[in-house]
Amino acid sequence: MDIGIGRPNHIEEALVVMNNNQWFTWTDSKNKVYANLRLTEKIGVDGNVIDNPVTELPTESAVNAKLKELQDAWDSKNA
Amino acid sequence: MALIKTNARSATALDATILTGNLPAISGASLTGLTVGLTATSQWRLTTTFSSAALPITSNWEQVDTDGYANLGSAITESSGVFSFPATGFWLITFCASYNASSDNDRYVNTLIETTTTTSSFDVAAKAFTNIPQSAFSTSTGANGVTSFLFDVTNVSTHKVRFGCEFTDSATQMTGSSTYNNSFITFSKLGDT
Repeated sequence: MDIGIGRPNHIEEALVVMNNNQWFTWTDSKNKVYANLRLTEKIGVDGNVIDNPVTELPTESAVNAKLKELQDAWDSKNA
Repeated sequence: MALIKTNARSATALDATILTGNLPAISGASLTGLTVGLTATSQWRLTTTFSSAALPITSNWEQVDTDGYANLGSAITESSGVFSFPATGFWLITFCASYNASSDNDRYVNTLIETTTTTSSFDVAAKAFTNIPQSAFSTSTGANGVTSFLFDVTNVSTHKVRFGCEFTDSATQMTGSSTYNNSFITFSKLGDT
């Protein structure tokens, strides 16, 4: 699903709202599964490249819970 | 019918209006004064969506690699969001960013290209302002920000470019994909410097 177009159905949509900026990346961007999720080392803020303030990956269950939260909100709005 | 040339004043002042018949084949090796056309062009794209401003965008870039894509000429290289050129020349850089906003807050976004000619600091070379419209049917709507810059790359070691975005609302997202061009950059070498 394209983000923002329909019902959330991918963990990337949950990850995007869990923290700001480019805090995560994938070891294989063609296979965006939790096992391939990694933290980025650096992010860009106001023209500067700084250390990623997010230092720990969320658990898989936390990511899935956030995705379900987004889905429930979408379902509620579009019931 | 053979080419008939009449009343030609000289070989260097050939009047095309007085030519009739078929033109003879001309060997390319005999042509002079021609300049080479586009010699290098390539595309990169953001693979992964993120929220809030990122200046510069430091990660999740990939050279396009699907749907029949191929570079023309040597490839641009990227490291931590900084792009380097394979050759000197006049490079046209176009950044097309896709945005999604889902809040009722301000929805202004800036799409930026920053360049350096010294590698010590980057300056804003191009900035597009976009207001993501709201819809009566959905709070989640999208828009594009497109900007470009003609960069005279006289030294590939010192002339670099990077990209970024600024938002008035941290919930706004720049969207990316690794299977199609959503937010992407096109580099084209127009000619020698």
